[in-house]
Amino acid sequence: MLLPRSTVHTARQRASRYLYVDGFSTLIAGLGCLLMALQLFYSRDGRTTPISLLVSLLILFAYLAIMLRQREIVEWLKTRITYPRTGFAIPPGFEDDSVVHADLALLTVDETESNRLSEMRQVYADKKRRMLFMIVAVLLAIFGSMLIPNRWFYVASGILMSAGVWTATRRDQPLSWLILAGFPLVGIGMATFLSDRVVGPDRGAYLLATAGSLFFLDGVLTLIRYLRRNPLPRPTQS
Amino acid sequence: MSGNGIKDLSSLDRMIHEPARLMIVTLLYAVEEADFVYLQRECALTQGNLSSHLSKLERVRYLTISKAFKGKYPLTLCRLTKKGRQAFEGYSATLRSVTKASAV
Repeated sequence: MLLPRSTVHTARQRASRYLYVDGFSTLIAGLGCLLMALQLFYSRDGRTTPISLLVSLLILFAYLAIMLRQREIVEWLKTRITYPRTGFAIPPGFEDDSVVHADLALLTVDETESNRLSEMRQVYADKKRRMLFMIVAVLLAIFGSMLIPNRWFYVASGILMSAGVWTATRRDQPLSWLILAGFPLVGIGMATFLSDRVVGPDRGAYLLATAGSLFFLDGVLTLIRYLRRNPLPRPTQS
Repeated sequence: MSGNGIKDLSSLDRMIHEPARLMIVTLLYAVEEADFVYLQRECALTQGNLSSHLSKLERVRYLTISKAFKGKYPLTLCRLTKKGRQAFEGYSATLRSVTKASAV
């Protein structure tokens, strides 16, 4: 490839990281984990009064709304907070697969475009691989905590979750030490202080709750940092 | 590219060679599209300066500028055209071959 790889690569990386500069994605992911943990905690007693069912349904609805509409929620927040401050950019590989395939069909004759699209496909494939690893690691950590009665498995879960998040995000967004160091530390804390009476799904719920809290806290701190560094510019004529 | 070493420098695309425009084109090459505010922040150019360079690049059809809205937020979107991408790749290829040839 004949491009000044380092410059373009840096610009590309900055654009990819720009998606996470405001912390909204992390914040919303944390909120989703917290709601899921709340649902697990709330439903464990098997309460069947109409009010408890309604609350349970509301939590479930909020959780599903966040999980299914995560991108739209983040985009809505960005439109009001991020774009007026620091602008808008679509990094490569961010659009849907279908868009890329349509482009590919149209532009395969063009070397420049086909190079670009094959790079985008590589980015997609790499991202998918990393996300898959994270999902497997997180599921192993949560279900392992539920099924393996050893309390020190929390530490292993923390390390597993930390490794999963690190693998999934290291190329796209700045690594947060709060999350990377937080998971193992919380695992040690839970192994040390959590009662032996906490068993089964409750163990998974505790793990989810701490993961959610860490993501949420990291998102809030990133947002505060972002807002302090980038005050809303005064409107001027462009 | 003729492979004449130092003489190839004369064939560099002057539209891209100007530092501010090179910054803009490099940034746009790295993304699908970006808006005016993003480019201004990344390139650290004034509004007028950026605007003038964008107009020049648009005039030679290296990029397209379109107005859009995201919610109520107006966007001035810039996207490199196929011609612009090819020009940037040609420019970087020439520059690379020259620097390679003149390396000691």
